[in-house]
Amino acid sequence: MNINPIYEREHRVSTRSLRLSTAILVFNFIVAGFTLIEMNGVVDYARKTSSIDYTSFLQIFKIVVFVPVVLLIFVGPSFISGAISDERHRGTLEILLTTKMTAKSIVVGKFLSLMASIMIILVSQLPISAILFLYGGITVGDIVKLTLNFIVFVVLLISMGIFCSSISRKTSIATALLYLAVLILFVGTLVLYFLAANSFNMNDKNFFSIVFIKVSKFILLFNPLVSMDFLLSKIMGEDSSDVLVSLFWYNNWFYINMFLDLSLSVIFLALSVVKIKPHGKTWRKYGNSNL
Amino acid sequence: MLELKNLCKSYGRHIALSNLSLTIPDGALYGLVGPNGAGKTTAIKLISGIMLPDRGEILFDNVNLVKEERSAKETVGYVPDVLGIYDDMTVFEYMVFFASTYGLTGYIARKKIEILLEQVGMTDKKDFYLNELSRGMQQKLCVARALIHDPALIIMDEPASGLDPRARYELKELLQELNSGGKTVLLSSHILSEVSEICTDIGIIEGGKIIISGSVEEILDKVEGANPIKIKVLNNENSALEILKNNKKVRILSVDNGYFMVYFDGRKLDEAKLLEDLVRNNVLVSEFIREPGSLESFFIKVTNHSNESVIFSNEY
Repeated sequence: MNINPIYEREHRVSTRSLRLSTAILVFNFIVAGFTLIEMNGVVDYARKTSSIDYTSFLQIFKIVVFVPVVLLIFVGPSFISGAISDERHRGTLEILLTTKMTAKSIVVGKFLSLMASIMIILVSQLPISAILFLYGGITVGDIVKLTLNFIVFVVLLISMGIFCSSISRKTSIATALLYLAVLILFVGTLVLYFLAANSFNMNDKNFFSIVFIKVSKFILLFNPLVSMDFLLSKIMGEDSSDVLVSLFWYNNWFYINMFLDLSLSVIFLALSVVKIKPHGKTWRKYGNSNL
Repeated sequence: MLELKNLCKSYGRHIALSNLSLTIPDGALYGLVGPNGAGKTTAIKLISGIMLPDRGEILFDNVNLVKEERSAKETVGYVPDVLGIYDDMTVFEYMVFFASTYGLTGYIARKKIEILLEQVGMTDKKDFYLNELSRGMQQKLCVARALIHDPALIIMDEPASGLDPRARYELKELLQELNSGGKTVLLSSHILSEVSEICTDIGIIEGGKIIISGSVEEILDKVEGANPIKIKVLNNENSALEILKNNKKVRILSVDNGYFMVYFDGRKLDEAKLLEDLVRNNVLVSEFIREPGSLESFFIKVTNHSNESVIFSNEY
């Protein structure tokens, strides 16, 4: 079986670098730290009251799910944004394009290697999550859904990162662009929804308010964190269907979000391929200033 | 044979190449020379397939490299001016990686790499990290890397820049070895003397156009022809003047400090005949010297970077 050369190279280099091992250490330290603090609170409560509140364990579950997401949002862009721009800066992208590798295989190789690195980090913290199984309340189905949601979130983050990297000449610019994109997708869509909801609550007959809330709900469907929150709410028995959307959207939110985010990821990756493919003016603008 | 036909490339309003046409014979070691911004790198990137031309054709052995991307990748081995080094890899890993980008793996790849590293004299450096190598070593490694798929055409952008004299000498030896092995080598430089030492053929590019192209001998002939013959006669000056005026090969004639300055189009044999004519007509010739030709001055003249606006100006 032919392994993508870029994936193989990145994998070889990353596994012997300090970067990945440090990331695993810090990641697990933070997730374990939050979990232990929360568990300590539960145990402390049990000691004092001689009763165990099992919903508290579900709260820990929420922490275990959200802390890695938040960490990835903050740390991930700096890992991802150099994917193409670093190659360009080193002059290796030009060489790769003269080899039998196509722009598509370069992008795919970068995507796979980043995906593998992030998944290694995430898998390494599974034992911490597994503690929660001891206390029950979470089904395998829940875990599968959350894992899929998480993978889609990582896929989208990496795709956005590769795209930002492919359009930027410098990695610093790519990093800034990716943080901006992350902010817009994860926070901006929520802010937009709350603005629309506020406008709708003030005047639910106004045409503009109705259109605004519908559009903002549709945009919110792209946000994987909202989908994750819905899943967690369901697991914890917190019905938030009336808060955001109708029952149909609420029940199918996970699938629709997954479909939209994967489509968006494919679009970002395809645009990256187009961007690094040998062609005219764009290459000069971003790629090389020599004539 | 590499043929560039009416290549055009522009960046916005800036025209980098304007109907550039060029023929490089098989097995040539061709130097593309021009000042900064002349269009050398653009031409090289177009031939390498890193960029696509706005118009025109690039043919190698009658295969259109612009349309046949696969053939282009098999034909061309490219060494950019920024060498393209992964600091975090060893020499051997670097070669293995690029071998795999051409689908070469396992024993075949390892054997090929060993041969290439031996060819560039780097066998003992195979476990070195690339950032531990000198620029000259990195350059040689990049040449080895470009040869991994056995391309017929090797393209190098400013290969000698940043190299010390010893590394330049080694590079020259390596390129000539490749050339003698049947590879066509195209390299760019803005230093003409460097190219004329290494190459068998030269093309001078300016403003996105080839101004002159040919073998080094042909170019040197033109350079020689561009310089006057200085003739000093000891008697019969009028007779000498008549002979020179009547010679069809004499283009321009002037007198400077008692010397006839003769701009002469002929070759060595014609020069000898001219001298014979003078002597037969009882003109005592004490000096008959062709000013030595300088490629550098010729380059400056043809690329219009000197105060002299025309190479062969009419002086009388």
